[in-house]
This record gives sequence, structure tokens and C-alpha cells, in this order.
Amino acid sequence: MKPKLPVICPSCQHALSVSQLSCEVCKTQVSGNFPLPEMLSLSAEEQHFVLQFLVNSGSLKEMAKQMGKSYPTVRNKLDDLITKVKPLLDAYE
Amino acid sequence: MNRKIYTLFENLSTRNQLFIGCLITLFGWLMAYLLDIRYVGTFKVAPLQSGTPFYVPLVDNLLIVLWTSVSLFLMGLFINKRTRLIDMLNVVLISRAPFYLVCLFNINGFMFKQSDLMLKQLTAEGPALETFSIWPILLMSAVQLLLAVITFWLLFAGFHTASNGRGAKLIILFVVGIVIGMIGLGFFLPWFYSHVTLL
Repeated sequence: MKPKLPVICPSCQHALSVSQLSCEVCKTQVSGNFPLPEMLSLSAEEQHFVLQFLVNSGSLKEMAKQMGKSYPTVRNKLDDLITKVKPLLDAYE
Repeated sequence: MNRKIYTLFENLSTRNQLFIGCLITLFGWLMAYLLDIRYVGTFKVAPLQSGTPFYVPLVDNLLIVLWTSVSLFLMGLFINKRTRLIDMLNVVLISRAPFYLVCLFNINGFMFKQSDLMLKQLTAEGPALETFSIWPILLMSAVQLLLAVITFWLLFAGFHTASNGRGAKLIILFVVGIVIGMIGLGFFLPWFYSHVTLL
């Protein structure tokens, strides 16, 4: 099982940031305070949806066919995702 | 049950929904034609004496489906500008399936005879109806109401999926769409038949 990366603090519910990175080969460790990429605030399912959207060149019809869902269902999912991502992008800009 | 109803609109492709919807509409037309029924509103039918031309129930039904679809589509646009007419059309085509079962009450002209009997009683004897003659009408009305509620439920699930609305706005606009559809049909159908002669 792939461990799930926590992005929200279990104690105070605020966004977590990266404080340490390490190299798997030479074991070098880098410490600091790095914000997590916006994409990581999405769930694994939502990230997969975004990737599918890219792979299908933004064709919701193709996505609906692949996912075995109706067009409005896929479009609704995209709309919900846009609503979720917009504040994140605004904060980034 | 509610989840299954939503699955119908969420998991079937647009083409499959249209195909199933067309089959259901053909079924509705055949039922009405063979059992001498006319669709006279979104949730209204009228039993007839035999001899209606085969295309009349089809034209009635198509007009009702198109009118209701456009009315719900316009309401859907208030919720989400990306609402599509084809999705609303599919919703209406599929959702009317339970309502077509109302036609079964007119096997051997049963609904027509009962309505006729009640009308005669009302005109001949005043409003006091005999108990034995009112029960079939009451039973038919109750079942018709139940089928209309199921149709309404299907329409709502489809409207919800097609427009992606939420909360009170979704419910209010759906009800407004249905009411506008019903009232509009009350004017549109007589106007249509006064200009186009089918019978």
C-alpha cells in the first residue's frame, strides 16, 4: 500500500509544509521550510482526474467514455474541482 | 434507491441515455395508442373512445417532452451556464417511463367508462356520488399520483445531475421549471391544436 502524504496538520487542521528532504542514495538531508505544491492539496482521486484531463487534451467527452460516466457527471466533477482549486491559485498568485 | 436513480443519469453515456429515452417514448406512444389514451399535460392523461389516429399520442407526447425539456433547460441555465439541452431532453425522455404505466388503467376502456360514469352521475344526480362508483376513480387517482411522484423524483435526480445545482436554488428552480412547463403546456397544447389539424 502506498502511504498517503498528509497535507493537513492532524492537530490544528492547518496546511503542513515540508521541513526536511532526503536523498535515497547518498542519504544527504536538506532542511528548510518549503510549501507543498498546490496539486498536493487535492485528493489522490482528484489528482488522477486532473492527469486524465491533461492526457485527454481536455476532452470531457473522451473522459466520460473512459470513466464510464455521463458527460454532465464529468463536467460537474471538473466544476467542483475548479471551485476547489481557484482559491489555491489566488493564494499562489 | 435514491442512489440507483442517480446512477441512471450519472453512469450512462449521452448516446445511451438518448437511445433508452427514445425506446421509452416509443413504449409510451404504443401504450397510449393501443389503450386509447391522450397525454394532455406533464402529469395528465385523458382516456378516449377508440379511433384515435396512431400519430396523435406521439405528437402529444413529443410536444410535452420538448416543452418540459426546454423549460427545465432554461432553469438549468440559471444554475450553470454549461447546462446542455440534450441532457435535459434525455432526463425528460427517461423520467416519463413510470408515468406511461397510467395507460394500463384504460385496458378495455376501463378508465374511460369510469370517468364517463362519474360525469353522468354528477350531471344527472348532482354532486352526491354513490360509494361504489367512486372507489375505482379514487384508486386510479392514487396510483396515478404515485407514478407522477416517481416521475417527479426521476426528473429531479436528472435535473440535479445535468445542472450540478445545490441547495435551495436547485429545488426552487426545478419546481419553477416544472410549474412553468405545466402552465405553459396548458396554453401551448390548445394553441398548437387550434393551428394544426391532426384529428
